[in-house]
Amino acid sequence: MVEAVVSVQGLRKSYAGKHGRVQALQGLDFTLRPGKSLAIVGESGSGKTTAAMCVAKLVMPDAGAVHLAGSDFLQADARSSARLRRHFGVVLQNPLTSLDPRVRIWRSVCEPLQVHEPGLTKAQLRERALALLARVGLDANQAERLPHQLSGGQLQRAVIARALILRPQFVILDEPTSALDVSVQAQVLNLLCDLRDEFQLSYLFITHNLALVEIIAHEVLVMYAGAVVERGPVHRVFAQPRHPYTAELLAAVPGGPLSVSEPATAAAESGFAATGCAYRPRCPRAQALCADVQPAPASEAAPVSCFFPLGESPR
Amino acid sequence: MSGLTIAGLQVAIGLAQPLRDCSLSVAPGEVVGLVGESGSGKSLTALACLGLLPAQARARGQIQLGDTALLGATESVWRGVRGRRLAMIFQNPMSALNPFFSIGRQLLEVVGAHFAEPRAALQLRVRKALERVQLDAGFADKYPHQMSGGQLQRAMIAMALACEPELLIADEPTTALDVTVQARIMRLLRELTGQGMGLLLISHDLALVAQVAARVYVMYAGRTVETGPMRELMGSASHPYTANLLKAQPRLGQFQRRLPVIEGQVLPATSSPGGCVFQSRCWRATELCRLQPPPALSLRPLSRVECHHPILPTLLAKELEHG
Repeated sequence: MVEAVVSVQGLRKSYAGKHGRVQALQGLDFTLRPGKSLAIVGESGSGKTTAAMCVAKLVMPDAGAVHLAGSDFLQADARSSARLRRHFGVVLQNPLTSLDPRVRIWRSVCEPLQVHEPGLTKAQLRERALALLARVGLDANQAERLPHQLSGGQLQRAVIARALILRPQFVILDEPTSALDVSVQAQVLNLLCDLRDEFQLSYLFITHNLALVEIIAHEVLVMYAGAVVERGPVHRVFAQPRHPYTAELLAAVPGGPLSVSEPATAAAESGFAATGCAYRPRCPRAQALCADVQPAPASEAAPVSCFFPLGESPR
Repeated sequence: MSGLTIAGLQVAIGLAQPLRDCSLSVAPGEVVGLVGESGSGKSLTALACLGLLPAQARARGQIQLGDTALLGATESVWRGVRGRRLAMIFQNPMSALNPFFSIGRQLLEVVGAHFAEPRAALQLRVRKALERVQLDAGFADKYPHQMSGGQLQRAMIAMALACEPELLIADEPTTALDVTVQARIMRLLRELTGQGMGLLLISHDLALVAQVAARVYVMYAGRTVETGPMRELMGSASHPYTANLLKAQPRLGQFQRRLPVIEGQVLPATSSPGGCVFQSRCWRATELCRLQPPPALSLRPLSRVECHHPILPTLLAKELEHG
C-alpha cells in the first residue's frame, strides 16, 4: 500500500455566534494517496473554506488530527509545524491579494525557498523561480513585474508557482478560478491538470462550481451546514446523487443535463435547522424522524447522511 | 419604434476606448441576453442606458427608449426615465440597499418619487411588488441585514418592478448568490417577463442566459461581435470567439479532462487595431483580419456576425463547397 500524502481524522471547528456556537465543521475525515484529488463542494456557509483552513492549520481546529509526512501536524510545536508546512502549498481565490503588491513576481515565488532552504544564493533562488514560472507559462520579463502589472490569470499562475516551489505533493486549492474569466479559467484548470500529472500532485480542491469537480478530482465530499452529507467517487455521486441536497445542487447548475427539474419551492430559501437534519426545511423528502434525529455524517462506510436517500423508496 | 435600441454606441474614457461599437435592441416583452467576459463593455453599456457613465466619459452613438433619445438627455428627461421606464438591478444586493431603512420604506421611497398618489395607494403598490417576487408582506418591515442574499435580490427586483418599467436591465443578478438560489431567481425572472416588460440580462455565463433569453448578443473588446436566436447560437456559433467561449465553459456531465482554451489576452482598451479586435487570439485569422475591420454579415435570419471568416452553418457550408 502506498503511503498517504495527507490523512485527516475527525476535524471539528465551531465559532461563537450570536445564538450560541456555530458548528462550522462537524467532523471531516479523508485520506489522499499520491496523484489522487478530493473536491469539497457546497454553498456559502457550508464550511468548505473552514475545512481548508483547518487542514492548513491557518485556523486551529477544536479537535481532530492532520497527518503530513508521517507526523501529526496539528500537535506539532511552532518550529516543527513550520518545517511540516513545506509539504503542502496553498492557492486562494483572489491572486491579487495573495501577493505582496510591492514585491516583484519572482521574489514572491522564491520566498518559501528562502525560508526552507536558507543556504541558497540569490542567483540560485532566481534560477529556481524562473524555471518554475516558465513551467506555469510566465516568461522572464513577466517575472520581473509587480502584481498590478499582470492580469488575473497570469497572477494566479504565479501563485500556483509559489505553492509548488518547494515541490510539495499536496496542494490546497480554495476556489482557485472563481475570480477568473471563463477563457482564462480554462487555461488555469488545464495547467492544474498538467501539473498534477507531471508531479503526481494531490489536490484538496474547494469549489462551489460542480462542473469543475469532474475535471480536477477523483473523489467528492458534499457539505451542508458544516457536515459532510454525501461522499464518494465523482462519477458515482454526480450520476446517481443519493442525498436530496446533492440532487438539488446538481439540478441547479445552468446548462447541466438535469437543469429542467429545478427545485419547486422558493419558501425555504435559507436557514439551517437547529435540530435534526439541517437540510430538513428545504428537503422535499423530509419526514417526522428528520426533525428529531440528526443523521450520522457521511463516512466511507456510509456515504450518505440521510434517513431517506434517493434511490430507495421512502418507508 | 418602442423598446430599447442602441446603435453604434462608443464610449471613450481618456485614451481608453472601452466601448468601441455596441448595437443592440430589446423589443417590448422580449428577453435578451448580453454576454461577455470582464472588460468587454457589457456593464458600461448598461450604465450608458441609465445615464450613469463616469463624468469623464465621452459617449457617441444612439440610445433610444421608445421615442426618447437617452444619450445627451437633460436631467429632467432622465428623472422621468430612471426607475420609472427603465429599471436596473445590480450584482450585489447587499450593497445596493440602504442598511438603515426597512425594505418597505425603501420601496415606498421609489414609488413615491414617481407616482403622485395618496400614501395608501403607494403602499398597495409596494405590497403588490413584494407579492410578485414571492416575498410575503412581513418582509416590508425587515432590514437588509435580517435577510439572506436571495431574499435581498428579490427585494431589489421588487423595487425595480414597483414602477412597472418598460425595460428591466439585470447586470449579473445572480453572480453573488449560491447556485441553488440562482436557479430560483432565474426562474422568477423568467416568470416576470412576457407581460410587456422587456429584460436585458447581462452575464458572463452563456449557459445561464440560455435559460431565459430568446436572443443573445456576444460582446468582445467593446464590440457586439455576434447576435442571434439563443438556440441557434448555442448550437452553432458563427464567430470564432463565441464558439471558443462555449467550448471553454466547463459543463456538468461531460467528464472532459482538458478544456479548449482561448490563448492570449483580451485586447487592451487603449489599443486601436486597424483590423478585427479578436484576430490576435483567433485560429482562423488571416492577413485580411489584421488589416481590415470585419464586415457585419447576416448568415441566418435575425443573426449578425462581425467576422471575415465566420464558421458557416453546415448546410450553407456544404452548398458553398459544391457551388
